[in-house]
Amino acid sequence: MAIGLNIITGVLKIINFAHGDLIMLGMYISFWTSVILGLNPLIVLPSVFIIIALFGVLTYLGIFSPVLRSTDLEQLLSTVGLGLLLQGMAQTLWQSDYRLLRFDIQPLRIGDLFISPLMLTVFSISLTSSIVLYLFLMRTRTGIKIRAVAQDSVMASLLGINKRKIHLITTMIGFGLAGLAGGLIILIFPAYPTAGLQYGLMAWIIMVIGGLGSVLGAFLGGIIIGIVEVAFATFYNVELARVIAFTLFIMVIALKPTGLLGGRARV
Amino acid sequence: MILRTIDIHKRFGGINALRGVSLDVNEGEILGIIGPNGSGKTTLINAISGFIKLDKGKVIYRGRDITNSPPYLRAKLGIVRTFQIPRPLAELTVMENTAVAAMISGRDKEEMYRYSETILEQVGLASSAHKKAGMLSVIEKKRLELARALALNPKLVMLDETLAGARGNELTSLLEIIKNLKDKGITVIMVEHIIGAVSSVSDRIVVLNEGVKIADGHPKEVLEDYEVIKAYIGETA
Amino acid sequence: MSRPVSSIIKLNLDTALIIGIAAILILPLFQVNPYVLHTIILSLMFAIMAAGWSILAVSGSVSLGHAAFFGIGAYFTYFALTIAGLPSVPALAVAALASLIASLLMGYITFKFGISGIYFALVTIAFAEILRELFISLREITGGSLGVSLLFRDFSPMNFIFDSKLPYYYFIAIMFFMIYLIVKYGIKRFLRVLSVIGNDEFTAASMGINTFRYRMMALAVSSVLNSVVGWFYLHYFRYITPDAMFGLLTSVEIVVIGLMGGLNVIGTFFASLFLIPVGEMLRAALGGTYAGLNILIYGGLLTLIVLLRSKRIGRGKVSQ
Repeated sequence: MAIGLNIITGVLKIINFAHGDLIMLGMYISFWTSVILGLNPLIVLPSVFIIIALFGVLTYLGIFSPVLRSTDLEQLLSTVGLGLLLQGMAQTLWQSDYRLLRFDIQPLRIGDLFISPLMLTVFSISLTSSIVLYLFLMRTRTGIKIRAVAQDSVMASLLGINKRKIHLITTMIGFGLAGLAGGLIILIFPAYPTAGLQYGLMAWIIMVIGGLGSVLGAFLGGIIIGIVEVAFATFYNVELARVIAFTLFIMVIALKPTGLLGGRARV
Repeated sequence: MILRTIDIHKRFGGINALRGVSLDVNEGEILGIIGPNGSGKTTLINAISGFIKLDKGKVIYRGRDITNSPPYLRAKLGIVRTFQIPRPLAELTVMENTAVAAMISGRDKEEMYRYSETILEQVGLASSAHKKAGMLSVIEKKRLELARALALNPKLVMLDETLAGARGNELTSLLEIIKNLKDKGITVIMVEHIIGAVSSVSDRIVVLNEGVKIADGHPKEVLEDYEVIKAYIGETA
Repeated sequence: MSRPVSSIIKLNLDTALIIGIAAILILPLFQVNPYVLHTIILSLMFAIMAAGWSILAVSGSVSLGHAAFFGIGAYFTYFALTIAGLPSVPALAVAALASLIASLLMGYITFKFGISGIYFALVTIAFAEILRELFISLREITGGSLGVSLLFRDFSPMNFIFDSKLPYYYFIAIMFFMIYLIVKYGIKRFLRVLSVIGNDEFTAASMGINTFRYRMMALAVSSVLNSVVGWFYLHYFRYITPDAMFGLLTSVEIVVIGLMGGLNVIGTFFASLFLIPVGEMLRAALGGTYAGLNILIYGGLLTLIVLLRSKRIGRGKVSQ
C-alpha cells in the first residue's frame, strides 16, 4: 500500500528530469494544495489535475522563468520559498488541523488478506498514470522533445526545439501530476500543512536514489523507499522509518550522485 | 630537472586523453607543448597541477612524488597554472585579484599591495588596477591570470593557451613577459596552439598528438619533423 | 574613484551598528516593557545565527537546515542539565561539542565527496528533518513533539536562570557585539579566503588554498555559533520543541535574515531588527492566524529575494 504511495511520488519525480533542476520541490506544494482543497471523490481528480497545472503555468511565468537562468541553488531556494509561502497560506486559511476524508467501504477479501478497495484504487490509478507518463515520454513527439531538453538543452535548442515551450509544458505536467498525487494521497492519509515539505522531500529522495533523468529509476526508487518505510514503520515507528529513508538518501548522494540508475553526471 | 612525468595515462569515459606520456622539464627552461586540438595538452596541465587524478603513471616534482597530492598542495609547492578560459574573481578589482593571491603566499597587508603593484606593472595591467575584473577584455583577463599566477611566487608556471588570440604588439609584449619569467629563474611550460610564437621563445618543444608524445626537442628540429607536420595538417600533406 | 566612496559608506555602516548597539544597551533605562525586550532578544539571537550562517554561505555552502545546530545546542544543553545534572557553563561546552561533532560529520561527508551547491543544501534540509523526526521519535528523553521545558530551579546566576529578562538581554547584546568585533578585526583573513573559495573553488585550489580544510572550519564555526544561541535560548525561554528547533521555518528565517543582511554581520543586525519585530507585531495583531502568516511571509520573502537576485544576474552582468 505504501508502495502505491511511493509510486505516485515516483511518478512525480520522473517529470523533474526534464528541467534537470529543482522545480520539483515546488511541485510538492502543488499537490498538497489539492490535498488541502479538501477533495472529494475521484471524479474530481481530472479537474484537480487541470487546476494545478494552470497554477503551474503561473508559477512558471512568474518565478521559474527568470530563475532558471541563474544557478541551481537559487532555483531550489525559490521553490522552497514558494513552498513555504503556500504552506503558510494553507495554515492561515485552514488552520493546522488534520483533515481526513472518510469513506465507508468494506474491505475486500482475497483469500486471507484484507485489502481495502481504496488502496487498490489508489494503487491502480498511480500505476496507470506512471505507465501513461512513461509512454508519453517515450513515444510521443513532445515526450521525445522533453527528454532531449533534459539531456542537453543547448543541443536541443540547436536542433530547433523551443526550450521555453518545453519548460512550460513540463512544468504544467509536473504540477498537474503533483496535484493528482495529492488528490490520491488524501484518500488514504490525512492532510496537514506541513505535509508538503515531507512529501516533497521524500519525492526528492526517491528521485536521487532512483537516479536523475531515469524514468525507470524514479519508479524503482519509489518502490524501494516504499518497502523501506513500511518495513520500519511496522517494526519501529513512523519517524524512524523516515530517518532511515533520509539516511539512505545521504548515503546515495555521497557515493553515487547520479543515483542508482541515473545517467547524467551532475555536480 | 624540476618536473618529470612518467608514463601517465588518463581516460575520460570513451576518450583516451593521455596515453603514456613521459616527459622531463628542466629547471629554468621554457618548454612549449603543442599539438592539434584534442591532443591532450590541457589534460596534461590538469594532471600536473593536480586537477585530475591519473589512471596510471607518476608525476615527480623536484624529486618528490606528487602523483597523489591535491591541487592546493602542489600550488603551495610552487606549481602554478593559468586557465584557458580566464577565471578572475569578477567582483573584485584587478588589484584585489592579484593581492588575494599574494596574500595566500603569506604576505602581510602592506607587502601584499606593494608586491601586487610590482607584478601588475610587469604584466602591463598597472593602469587597470582599479577596474573590476569582470569588466576586462579577454586579453586583459589573460594578463590578470598571469599576474595572479606570478603573485603566488611560483617555481613552475604552466600557461594554458595564454597567447591565444593575441596579435602583433600584444603578442610581442606577452612574449616579453614570458621571457622575463625565465630570467627570474621561473620554469615555464607553455601550452599553445599557435606554433610560430611558441617556437620563438621556447628552449624546447614537445608535441602531443592524440594523447601521445610524438616529438621532443629543439624547436627547429621538431618543427621540421614529418610526424609533427602530419599531425597538424593531416595525411594529405 | 570608487574607493574613497566605499570607505565612507563602510564607515557609516559601522557607526550605525555601534549606535544601534548603544541604543539597545541604553533602552532598558527608558522602557522596560518585557515584550519589547523579548523581541529584541529574539532579534539578536537570530542576528547571531544569521551571521554564523553567512560565514558558511560565504564559503560557498548555502545551508537550508541551520536550525539543526540551533536545535542540537538547545537539546544537548537540556540533556546536560537534566540527565547529567551539570551546571550551565559545562552544559554549554557539551552543547557546543555536540554541534561540532555533528558539523564535522556532515562536513566530512559532504565536502570529501564533493557535494556542493544545491546538493549540499538538500543534504542540510534532510539533516534538519532527520533530527526533527529523530527527536520526535525518542519520546522518552525528548518529550516528543510536545517538547520539553526547563523547570525553574533556583534563580541563580550560576545556572544562568534569572527571573527577569534583563540579564539575558544584556548578555545577548554583548555577545552580539563581541561577535561583531571578532568578525571585523579578528578573522578578516580567514573570511577573505572563504570568499575566494565561495567565489570559485577551482581558482582557490589553484592558488594553494586547502578548500576542504577551510570549508570544514567555516562549517564548524557556523555550527558552534548557532548551538551557543541554542544554549542561550533554552535558558531564556525554557521551552523547546522539535518543530521550533529543527523546523524548516526556523532555518528559512535564518536564511532570509542572512540574505537580506547581505551576508555580513552588520547587515544581519539590521535585517533581524527589522524582520523579527515586524513578525512579533503581526503576532500581537493577529493572534491565532499568526503562525501561518509568519510562514507565508518568510516563504514569500525568500522567493522574492531569489527572484530579484536572478533578475539582476539575468540582466547581462559580466560573468566570470
